[in-house]
Amino acid sequence: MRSSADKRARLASFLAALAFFLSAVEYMLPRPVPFMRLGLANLPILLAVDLLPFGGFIILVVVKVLGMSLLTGSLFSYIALFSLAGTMASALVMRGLRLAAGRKLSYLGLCVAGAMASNLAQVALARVFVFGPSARYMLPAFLGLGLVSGTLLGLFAQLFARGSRWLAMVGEDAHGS
Amino acid sequence: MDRKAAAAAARASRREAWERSFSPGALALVGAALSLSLLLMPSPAARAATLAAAAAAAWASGRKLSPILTVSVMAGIVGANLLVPLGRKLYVWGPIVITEIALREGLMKAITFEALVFISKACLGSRLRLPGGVGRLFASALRSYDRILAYKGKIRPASFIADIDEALIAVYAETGDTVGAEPASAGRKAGDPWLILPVLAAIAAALLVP
Repeated sequence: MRSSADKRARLASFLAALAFFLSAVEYMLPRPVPFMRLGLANLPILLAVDLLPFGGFIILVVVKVLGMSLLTGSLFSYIALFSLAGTMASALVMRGLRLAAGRKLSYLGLCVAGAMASNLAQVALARVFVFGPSARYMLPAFLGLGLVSGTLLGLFAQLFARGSRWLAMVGEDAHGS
Repeated sequence: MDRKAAAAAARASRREAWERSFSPGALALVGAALSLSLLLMPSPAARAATLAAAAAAAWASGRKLSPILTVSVMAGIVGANLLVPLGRKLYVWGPIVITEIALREGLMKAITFEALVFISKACLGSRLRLPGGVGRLFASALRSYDRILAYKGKIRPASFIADIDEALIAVYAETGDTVGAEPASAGRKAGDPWLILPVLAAIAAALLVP
């Protein structure tokens, strides 16, 4: 019989695999605006807010960023640093909001807050490493794109969560263990 | 064979040769050393030379590169840095003012940004196995990823959510005891000893070129 730690490790590695896959799917989708990403690969992080304990949740974030940086060959570049800062900020904000507001906050709300936190963290890093003081001119555009992509991904997550048999199954597994 | 297919075949053949020559662990260590050396290089010329060498290595490794994207990202970084004037005026054209320090800083940042990207592309790949618990989790995630990829053709835009759900149920059931499995070891390759040369050159450029 599987221990609960084994089940959590299995679920965390599977959610990371799902993030790699959704990242590959997103790569094939056309972008309405250059640099705008829907952030499909963040869907497993969003779902993990309710599925994994805090330690497993942070490990998932690290494995997702590390894995995607290895697969795309960007681990030693600023891109990986931006990705880690953005994903970590978004993950911590979503987790904190779930803790504070409980189930009153929908996936849409969590996702919009996460996207804004991610873009803010990335603009802050861009100010230090790439754009200098000019980064402030990009802030409104980045926050606007974050609002749009966060809303779209949040709506997608709500649709997925409503109809997914897989999510119901792993949810029972995670909370039953 | 059309041009795209020919280019993909050429990339695959370069990637095979690269993987035959260098082990993933040695390449990752060299990539880390080169990235650190690059950040310590005070000379823009040395950084530009590193950028050129790293781009050549990324090409030789069989990675897909886009010169248009590289140039547009670099132009964007330089342009953004020019928005805040800094230093002596070099050129004024209507509202556009190009200043010396802003231009130099922008170029330095753009070169560094892209050089790090090319070093990563040349030195990293999915063959790399990380040590420890996170490494085992990562290796397990890669195996699940391969299994999910097998369902890619069955996921249609019209029934995207239902198709993904079916794939997830099927693959999740297959991922039995994979997390504890040991990652594969890649072993040493004939080209590994030669990898010390670019590291020495980069360290020399960081320490000796003003």
